[in-house]
Amino acid sequence: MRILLTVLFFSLFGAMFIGCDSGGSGGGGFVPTGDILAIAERAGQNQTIKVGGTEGSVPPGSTVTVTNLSTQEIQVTQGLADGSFDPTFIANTSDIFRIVVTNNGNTVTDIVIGVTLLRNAVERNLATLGSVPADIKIRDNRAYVINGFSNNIQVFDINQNPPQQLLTIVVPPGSNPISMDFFGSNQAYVANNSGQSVAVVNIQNGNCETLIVSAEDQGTTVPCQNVVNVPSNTFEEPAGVKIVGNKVYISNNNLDENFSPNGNGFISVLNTSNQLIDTIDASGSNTTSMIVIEPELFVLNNGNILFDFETFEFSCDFDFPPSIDIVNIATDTIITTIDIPLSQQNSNVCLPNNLTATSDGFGYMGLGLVGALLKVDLILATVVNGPSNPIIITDLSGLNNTADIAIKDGHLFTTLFNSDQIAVLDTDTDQADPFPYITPFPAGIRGDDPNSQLFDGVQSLAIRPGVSGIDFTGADIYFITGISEQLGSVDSTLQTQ
Amino acid sequence: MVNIVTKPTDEPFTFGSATYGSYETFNLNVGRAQKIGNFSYLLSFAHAQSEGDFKFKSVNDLTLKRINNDFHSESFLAKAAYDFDNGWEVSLLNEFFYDNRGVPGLGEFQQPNANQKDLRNLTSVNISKERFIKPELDLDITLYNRFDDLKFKNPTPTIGVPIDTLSKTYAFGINPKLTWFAPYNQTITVATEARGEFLSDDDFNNPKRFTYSAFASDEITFFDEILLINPVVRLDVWSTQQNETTTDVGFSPRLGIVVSPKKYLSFKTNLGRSFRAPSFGELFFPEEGFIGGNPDLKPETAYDFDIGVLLSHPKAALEVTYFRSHIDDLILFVFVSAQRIEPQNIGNVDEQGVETTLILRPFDFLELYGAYTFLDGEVEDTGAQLPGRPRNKFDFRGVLSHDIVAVFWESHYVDSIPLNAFPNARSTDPRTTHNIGVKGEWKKVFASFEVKNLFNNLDVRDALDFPLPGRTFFVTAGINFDK
Repeated sequence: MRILLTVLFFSLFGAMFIGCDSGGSGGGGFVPTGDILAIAERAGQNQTIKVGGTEGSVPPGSTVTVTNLSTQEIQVTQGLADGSFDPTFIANTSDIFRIVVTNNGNTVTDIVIGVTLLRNAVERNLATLGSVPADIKIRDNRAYVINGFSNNIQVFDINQNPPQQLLTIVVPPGSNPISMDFFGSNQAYVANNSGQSVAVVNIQNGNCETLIVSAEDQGTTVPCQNVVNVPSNTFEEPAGVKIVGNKVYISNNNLDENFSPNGNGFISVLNTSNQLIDTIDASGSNTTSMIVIEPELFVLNNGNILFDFETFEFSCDFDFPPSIDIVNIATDTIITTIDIPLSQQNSNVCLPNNLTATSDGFGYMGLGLVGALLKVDLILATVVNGPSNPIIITDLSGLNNTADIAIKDGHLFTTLFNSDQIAVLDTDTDQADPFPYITPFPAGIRGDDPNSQLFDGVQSLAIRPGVSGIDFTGADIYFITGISEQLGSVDSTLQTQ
Repeated sequence: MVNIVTKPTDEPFTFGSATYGSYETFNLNVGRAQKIGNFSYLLSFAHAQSEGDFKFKSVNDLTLKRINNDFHSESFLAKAAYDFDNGWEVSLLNEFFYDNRGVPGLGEFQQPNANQKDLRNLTSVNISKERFIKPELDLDITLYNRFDDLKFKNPTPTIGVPIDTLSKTYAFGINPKLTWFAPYNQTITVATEARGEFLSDDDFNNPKRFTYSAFASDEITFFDEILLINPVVRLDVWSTQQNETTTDVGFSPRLGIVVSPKKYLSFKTNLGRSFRAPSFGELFFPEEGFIGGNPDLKPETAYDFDIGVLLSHPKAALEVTYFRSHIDDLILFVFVSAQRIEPQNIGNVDEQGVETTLILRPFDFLELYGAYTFLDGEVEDTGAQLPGRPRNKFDFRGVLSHDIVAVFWESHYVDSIPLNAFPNARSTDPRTTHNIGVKGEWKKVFASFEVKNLFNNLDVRDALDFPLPGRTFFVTAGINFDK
C-alpha cells in the first residue's frame, strides 16, 4: 500500500510538469530532463544529421519515431537506459523533423523541430588581438587575452556582443607575458617568459604596479611603477602562475639558449609581499601548467621534443619524458610524482600541456604534436591514458596540437590548432563527439576547408563561469587563434540560432 | 639579373659629395667618367654609415630607442668600354657591394646582437655590334657572373634559438640578343638566356638551378606612329636540382598597344601572363627548426591587365592607369604547424587598382608633383586584404626654384598595412610624414639641407611593422666639374 501511494504521488507530481523539454509536449507523467535536437555540422544538402536526445530526454525503453517531414523518411529507435536516443539521417539541413515518443502506449512527446548547426554556434573574428596571443582567462564578465609579442593584456567586456575592449594592461618591452592568475578583486600576477620576471598588475586601471625581477635580468622596467629585486635565478623562463592563499607559485621552464631543457624545471614560491620564500625543484623538465586540488598542487613537467634537420620533422625526446609532481601546499614539498612514460610505438605522442581537472579528480592534458589527450587519476596518482594509449581525437599520423582544454558539466572542450576545430569529449566515457556535439566545432578557416593552406590556429579557450541564460546571455566559451590573432566564441548550449 | 644602364659621356666628368645627418649618418659619393679616343670609363665609389639609434613609439605608446641598428656599406662601380669604330663595342662592368648591419628586428623585442653581413659582386662583359651582318641587324651579347655571400648571426636572441647561417650563391649566365629593324615599321627582338645558380649550403645538399629562357618581341608602328602594337612571347624553363630534379616551364605571352592620336596624348594597354619561380631564399631558407625553406614550392602564375592614358605637355603631365591582376599560387611565409613557419603556395590573389600621377609646371620656377595609388588586393582563401601593402598611398612634392636656390616640400601618406593574410588583421597605423629641404647650386658646387619627417611622427612603421625614424636632418655638400 505504501509503495502504491508512493507511485501515485509521483505520478501526480510528474503530471504537473508537462512540456519541460526544449520543444514539445510531454505526457504520460514523464518529465524530460534532456533536450531533443536535430544536429548537423554545417548547412547544405546531403549532410549528416543526427536527430537525438540528450540524457533524460525520453523514458528508457520508449519507442522513438523520427520522421523527416520533407522526405517522409522514417526511423524508429528505442530510448536508451540513460534516456537518450540517436538515429542518423543524410538529408538537407533545411528539412523539418517530427519526433514522436511513445511509452507504454502513451504519447510522451510529439514535436516538430528544425536542424541546429554547430557552425552557427561559433562566432569568429570578434576582435583583433595583439601579436602572438598566448592565453585567455575569464573572470566574471571580463576576458583577459595575454599577447606575448605585444607585451600587453587586452581586457574585454564579454557582456557586449561583439566584446568591447575596456583597457590594455602593459608590461615592459621584451617581457613576452605568457600566463596569469588573479589575486583578490583588483590584481593579477603575470609570468613574463622572456623578461625572466613576474609583473603584478592592476586589472581595474590597467597599471603595472610592480615588476619582480632579479637585478641582472632587470632591463627596461617601464611602465611598471615599482621594482622588487629577487635573488639571481629566481625565474628561468617563468611559464605558469597559480595563487593559493597568500602564496604565488611560479613554474619555470628552465631551458637553455637552444630551447632544450637545462636540467629539470622548478617552481618559485613567492609570498604576496613579492618576496621569494621557497624553491621547489621539479622532478621533470620544462615545468609549466599547475592546478590546485587542495591541499595539493599538481605541477606538469612537459618534457621535450626534438627536431630532425634531415626530415624536418618533430618527435618526442625520450631523454626528457613528461611527469606530474604533486606538491603539498602546506610544506611546499613534493609528495609523489606521476611519471608518464613515452611510447616507442607512438613516437610523436608527448609534450603534454595545460593540465585540467574534472571535479572527481581526473586530469586531462593536451599534446603538442598530435590531436589526442592524456588522462591521469590525480587521486590515485596513476596514468589512465598515457602515450601508449592516448585518447584519440584526430588520428595520430597527422600533425596537430590539442593546445588547450576546458571542462564544463561533464564535457571537455579541446582546441585543435592545426585543423581549426574545437572538439568535445564526454568525461564520463572518454568518447569524442558525444551528442549533440556530433563533430568538432569548426572554429577557423581549416575547420571549414580542411585543404586550405592557411589556417587560423585555434589555440586557447576559456569557459565563462555561471549558467547560460541565467547568469549571462550569449556565448559561454571564448577562444583565441594564435596565427590569425583573433577572438572568437562558441555557444555550447546551441541556443543562439 | 641586375641591369645597370650607364650614361655615355664625351666630356670628362668628376663628381663628389658628402652628407652628414642625424644618428651619425655619413655618406660619401665620388666618381669620374671620361672618354679618351675610343676608350671610355666610369668609376664611382659610395660609402654609407649610420648609428640608426632613433626614438620610436612602441605598440603600447612607450617611447623607446632603436638599438643595434648601425650599419656601414661600401659600393664600387667600374665600367670600361672600347668602340672599335666598325660598329663593334666591348664593355666590361663590375659592381661590388658590401654591407654590415645590426638587425634589431621587432620594436617590442629588439635583438641586441643580431648581425648581417652581405657581400655581392656582379661582373659582366657586353659585346655589341651595330649592323651585324646586315645593316638592319644589331647584336648584343652579355656574359655575367654574380656572387652573393650572406651571413646572419644572432648568438643571444631575446626570443628563439641562436642563429648562425651562411648562404653563398654563385650565378653565371649568357644573354645574346638580336634586334632586327624589319620592314613595315617593325623592330623585332629575339633573345635567349642561359643561367646557372649554385647555392653552397650543406643543409640542402648544395642545390643548383639552371634556367633557359627564350624571348621574342615585335614593335610595329602604324599611321606615322600613331598606333604601336607590341606582342611579346617568352618561354622559361627552370630545372632545380637538389636531392631530385624538378622542372617547371612557363610560357608568358603579352600584348601591348599604344595609341597616340596627338603628340601630347597617348592611350596604352597591356595584357599578359607571367611566372615567378620561387627564389632560392624561399626554396632553401636556412633551416632553423622553427623556420625553414620549402623545396616543393610551385611557381607563381600571374595574369595582368592595365589600361591608361598619358597627357604630356611642357606645363603639365597627367597619367592615369587602371590595373588588374590575378595571381595563382602566391608564395608567402606562413605557419604550417604550431612549431614551424615555411613558405607555402597559399592560393590565389586578386588585385586591382589605380595609379595616378600629375605634374604641373605653371611657372618656370614652380613644379608640383602628385601621385596617388589605390590598391584593392584580396587573398581568395580568407577574403582578407593582401598583407604588406596599403590600400591608399599618396605622395606630393612641390619645388620652388629661383636662380641658384631651390626649396622643396614633400608630403607622404600611407594607409594602414595589414600584417597578415587574415580578416581583421593587425595592421600598422595610417601615417603622414612631411619633408622639407633647400638646395643651392653655384657654378661647380652645390649644397643642400633637408629635414625628413619634419613633425617627428614617431608612429611610423614599415610593411613588416618595424619602426622608422622620426625627425632627421641631413646636410650635403658636393662638387661637379667637367674636367
